[in-house]
Amino acid sequence: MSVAPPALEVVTGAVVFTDIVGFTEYNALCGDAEALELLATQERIVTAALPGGARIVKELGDGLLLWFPGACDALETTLALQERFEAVSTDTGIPLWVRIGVHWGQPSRRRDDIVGHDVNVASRIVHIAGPGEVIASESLLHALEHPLPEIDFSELGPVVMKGLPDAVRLYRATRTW
Amino acid sequence: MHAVTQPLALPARPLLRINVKAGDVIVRCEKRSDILVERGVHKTSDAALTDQDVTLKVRASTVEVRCPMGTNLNIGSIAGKVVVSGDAGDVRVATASGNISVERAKRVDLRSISGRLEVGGCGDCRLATKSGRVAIGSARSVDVATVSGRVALRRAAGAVKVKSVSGVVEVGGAGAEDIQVHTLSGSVTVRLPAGTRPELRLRSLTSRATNPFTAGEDCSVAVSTLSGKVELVAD
Repeated sequence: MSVAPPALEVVTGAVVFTDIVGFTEYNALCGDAEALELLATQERIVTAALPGGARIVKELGDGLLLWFPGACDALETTLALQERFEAVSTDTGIPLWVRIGVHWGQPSRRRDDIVGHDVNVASRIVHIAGPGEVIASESLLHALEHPLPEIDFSELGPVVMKGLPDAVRLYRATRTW
Repeated sequence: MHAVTQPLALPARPLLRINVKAGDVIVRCEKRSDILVERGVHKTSDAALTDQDVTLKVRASTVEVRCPMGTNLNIGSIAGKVVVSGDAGDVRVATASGNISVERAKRVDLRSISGRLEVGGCGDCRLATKSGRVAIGSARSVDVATVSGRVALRRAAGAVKVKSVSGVVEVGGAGAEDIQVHTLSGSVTVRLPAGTRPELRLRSLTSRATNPFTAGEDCSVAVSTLSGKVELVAD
């Protein structure tokens, strides 16, 4: 007798990956206590910045998987996060060098987790970003609910990423001021 | 099957996109008014011309293209090397493991995970690589990020920002604009013209910085490292 697979719950929104650049080296140089404090600092800043409906889906070593129901919220929040990370790095000297990748798609819910192709795409995008950068996919830009005149998008080109059959057009998002 | 080798007429503000899965990309920016694909595009459907740009899509082949000086280039590939010679406009390249070399460009944004990044001369330079080396001849402003890759910048006229986890960093400034270099374990050498009076913020947890300069307000030099050495050198 075959058992029917559970019905997929598909959700639409922004999938965001963050990654601390140099975390392994920082841990090796400064020890576990300092490394854990770095992770805690990142989590505190992110938790405080998330708008309603957005959430930390899970921790991934030194990175986070975030979920936003709105594309504009995702971009504005991730840019604000980078400004906050930069300010903390400057003030304290701790290297909170975070890179962020943002993609819009329709992953499937698996309990509190999200899985699927669009999650995989977002996880690839973060590796294109440098520390302090927010890199967004073209699909996220198409999903923006309203214009964001204070944000500039610089195209990186057709980025071919391992495991993905087609090139993805990516953009670096920055504040215009 | 024949390669597409006939010249492609250009839109007013040309942007050439080249999308290659596995193969080298060689672009020559020279005195001409069209784009000539010399090698690598075998089907006319792989070359598209719109009002805004020319797009070449190639699966596994080396692409060689000649284009006008000042052409803007967006190039994406996984493994092949990318070589741009001559005078290009805005050059944006992203590869996974291929080396990227740009002779001269108005602006560059080069990204690779493990590839080496080389720029002869450009205006504004933004480069990011994980393990590849970075070499820049001359530039106006520079923003570089590496994890383990070594960074060598001969001379920047404008502001310089470098972040590297463990790569050795050597930068040369003109002594008039701000320089920021931050590493975790990589050693840092900053060269400034002799007689420059920089405002200095040097921080190393494990060693004393070497500094031959008298403090002043000509420019700001901020260097921080956890375990690397910091050395300022008068040229």
